[in-house]
Amino acid sequence: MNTLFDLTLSAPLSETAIQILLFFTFELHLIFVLMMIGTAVLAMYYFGRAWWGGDERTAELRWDKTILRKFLPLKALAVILGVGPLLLIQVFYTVPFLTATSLHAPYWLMIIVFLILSLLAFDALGQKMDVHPYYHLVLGLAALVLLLAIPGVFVGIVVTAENPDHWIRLAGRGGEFFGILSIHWLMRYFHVFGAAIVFGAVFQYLFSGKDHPEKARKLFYWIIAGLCFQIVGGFALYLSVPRGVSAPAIAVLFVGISAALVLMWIVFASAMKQKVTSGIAVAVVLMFVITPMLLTRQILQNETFVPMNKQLKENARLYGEKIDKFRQVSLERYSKHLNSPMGAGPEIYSNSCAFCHGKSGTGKGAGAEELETPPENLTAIRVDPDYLREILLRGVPGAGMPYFRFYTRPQLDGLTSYINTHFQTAGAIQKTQHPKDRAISSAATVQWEHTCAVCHGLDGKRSELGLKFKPEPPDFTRYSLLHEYALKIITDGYPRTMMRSFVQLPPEVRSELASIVLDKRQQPNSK
Amino acid sequence: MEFPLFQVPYLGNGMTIALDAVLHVIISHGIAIGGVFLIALAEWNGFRKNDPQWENFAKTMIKPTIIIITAVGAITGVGIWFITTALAPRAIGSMLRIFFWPWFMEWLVFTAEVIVILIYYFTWDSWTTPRQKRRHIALGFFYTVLASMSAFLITGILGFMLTSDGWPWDGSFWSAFFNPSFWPQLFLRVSLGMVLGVLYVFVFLFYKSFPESFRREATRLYGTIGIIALGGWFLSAIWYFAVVPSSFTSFAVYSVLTGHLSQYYSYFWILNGIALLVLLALFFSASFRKASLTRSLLIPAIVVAIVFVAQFERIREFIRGPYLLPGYMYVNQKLLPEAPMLQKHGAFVWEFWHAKTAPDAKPVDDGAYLFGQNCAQCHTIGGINDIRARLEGRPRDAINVLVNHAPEMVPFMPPFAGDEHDRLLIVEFLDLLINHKLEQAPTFYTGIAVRSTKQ
Repeated sequence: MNTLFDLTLSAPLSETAIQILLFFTFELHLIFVLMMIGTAVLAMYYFGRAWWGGDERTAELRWDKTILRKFLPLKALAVILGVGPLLLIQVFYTVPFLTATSLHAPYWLMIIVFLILSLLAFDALGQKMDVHPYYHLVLGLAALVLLLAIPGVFVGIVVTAENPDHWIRLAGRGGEFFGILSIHWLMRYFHVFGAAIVFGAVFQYLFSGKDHPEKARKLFYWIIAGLCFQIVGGFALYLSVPRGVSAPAIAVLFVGISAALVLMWIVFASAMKQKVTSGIAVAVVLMFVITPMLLTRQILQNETFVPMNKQLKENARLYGEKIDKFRQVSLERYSKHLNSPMGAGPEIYSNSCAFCHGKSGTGKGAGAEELETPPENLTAIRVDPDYLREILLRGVPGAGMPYFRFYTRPQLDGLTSYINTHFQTAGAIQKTQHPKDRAISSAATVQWEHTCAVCHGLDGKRSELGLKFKPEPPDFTRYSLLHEYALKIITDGYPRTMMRSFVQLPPEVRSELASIVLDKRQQPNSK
Repeated sequence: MEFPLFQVPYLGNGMTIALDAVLHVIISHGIAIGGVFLIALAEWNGFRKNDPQWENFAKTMIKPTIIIITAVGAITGVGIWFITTALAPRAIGSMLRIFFWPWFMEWLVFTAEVIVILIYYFTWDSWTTPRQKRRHIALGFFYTVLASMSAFLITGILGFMLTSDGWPWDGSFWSAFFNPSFWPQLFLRVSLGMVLGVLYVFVFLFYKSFPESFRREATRLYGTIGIIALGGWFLSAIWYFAVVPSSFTSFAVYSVLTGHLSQYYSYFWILNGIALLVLLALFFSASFRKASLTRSLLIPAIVVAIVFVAQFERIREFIRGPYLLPGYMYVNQKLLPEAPMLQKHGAFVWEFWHAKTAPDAKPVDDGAYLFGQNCAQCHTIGGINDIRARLEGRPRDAINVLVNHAPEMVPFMPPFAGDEHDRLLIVEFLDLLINHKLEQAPTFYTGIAVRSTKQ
């Protein structure tokens, strides 16, 4: 793990302070999450009983409505209380946690969708949205499935974070669990589910059941069933811990199990005697169950995270020293970037064009050497402004000239204006150098018609074949070259294009061909 | 250190965050700040004038408001964080360390907000004596104070992401938090919240049954608030863009128009002007009690307001390119000094995931991985901002120059972080990719699953 390291920025608090804060904020968050999930499960259960349970009394009571009405505040607090521990986890367990979320990214992102849909559905049903029972059932069950999926994802993230030995294999499998991790994840998920039943039932007992003996008794059964499930499932969870459970963790676990048994005894005795027990007493004992359970988890996590974090921080320190050598130069570049107006014509040319076309526009910039097709010599061409804009907007496919659509029209106007001012690219079209009183020789005309026009087209607008080339030849009616430059290209060709050298032609024919090309140029009919 | 790669298929990372963030801004600003303030104002009017119509109007709005705030607003807010956790882990991890305390305070304020709004909602019918009613109304206003405090804390962080001021040099927390765009952005967000809030209450006013006389009275009050808020929003928007460095604002209009419409520059201003006029017309017609005209303008005004929100967030997010955290981190999550270091020593020297998970990778897979590391934060393959469309028609030598000179040529692109050998690897990959010579296009999905050749 030498190339894996913590962030180079230091953490804002000591590890101990963060751990203590994290422990209590997470416990608070978890309690509300468990009460919320338990409430949703109970609400759907009693909804089913009310409509299809054959129990007239339950149907009459529509207890599920009372239960679900509490969902709104529970979910609001559960969500909001999660922000604190999420912050602390990401600050303290930065690498393990963020690695785990990256490895399970699609599921992690789906939490947002699942949460919005399930919370909206339960809120709507809970806040007196009366719909047909079948719609209620479908909507409620869908919301419940989505809600129950969320702890599954969180548990998966934590299981992955806690087991760095398996990261590489997990990454290779696209984040899918395997073997012992699958079993551990499943056992842990069941444990959360069981806890949600217990907490949901205790919450409902406190807020909607304790003054109603019939409801209280039913909730006691839920609590007992939940605790039994937790004890059996907890044993399986214990066996499934990939790295095993250390002695300190076992000692703390024992305290939690003892408190769970006490709670079970209190609730069982109350249920048998049909007595109403103090809800506060039940809640207090429950806190003695969950706190040691979370402490056990904390001890196990620390056994992995503390030495790992130490190593990651040391790696980060060494890496920080290496990059510090480049800090000054990078800040100077940043400062330069920050103070450059990027949208003005001279800056656009300087930034985006000069490294190929050169500051002087002759096509000899630093990047030109790396290009097989040489950049255009801007000082040696005369281009219709619209044609130049077209080239800027779509580039020259097949050559190095990219498109510049990321500049707006006024910015490109500034650029073309700069180019025209400095290189006369839109300057006066050079007149043909062929004497007007002497006709172009038939040799040149034949050459143009039978060879050049195959690609350039008789009218200079390019043939169908020419338009298929990449890069395609220029449109001579809108683009012309200075005579000398045209002659040079006819003589030498244009590298890595279909324009080959015609050096074998007599010099006067080549010169006449350059004149033919110039004659094709028309005056621009627009700006 | 590099976290495992992940990219949202087709949408890409930026659009995924944007979709969530725009929804969150509309709710958090428009309903949490603006909406609840105007609801409390309605309740106060009812109490002050002893008018049950105002009380009834306020009560009609509170239930959907609390459901939207707690079920969608809160989740989409946390959602922005969730998404960045998966898509930009190094950036979010760094931000949390720089702004730990504001973030922590934000959590406390956020929790207080939720508790206050829950009490406000659940005590509506039970606090009935004049004293209790006063307390209840004060609670409603107190909620908007808390929501504004939340905006205060978040604005410091958001502002830093564009105008980090002296922090890159001196690491000072205060210059990072109270950065140059802090105050204008705070005023902009709060006034935007009021504008959206007025639109929100108008929806109830015009689509629920209320007596016409009450409707006219209410439109007058809210219309006047709308005019003031719109004025505040407009002025703070001008102030905001005045303090952002011109190197960033150069690409503000482009960020909205994109390459498809970048040449229709004047339309940008004309359409925005018309949009502003729609909002002005709505609020003025409301303040002159023209209820029917206000109603007919409401839907266009809501659409316009949503477009304004999306546009502003898009500009703010885009123009800071090539930086994710200006002065500290590039958009591809490379630290600023890392780029020259990796250009000197090579991209794979400190690389963990690719080396461990694909020791048998072919050169083209290495190139694909480098693409993932350097480019996939913005460019997809086959989706939004498709790299194949960007490089279409470019020969290999041109790609090489483009990769080598990206920051000069496109000022919002970061430098390639790798040495010459790495650059040739990515060029090889890109050349094969755009010319459809790969056996399969690579994916950037959970970890290292970057394969462009069948193994």
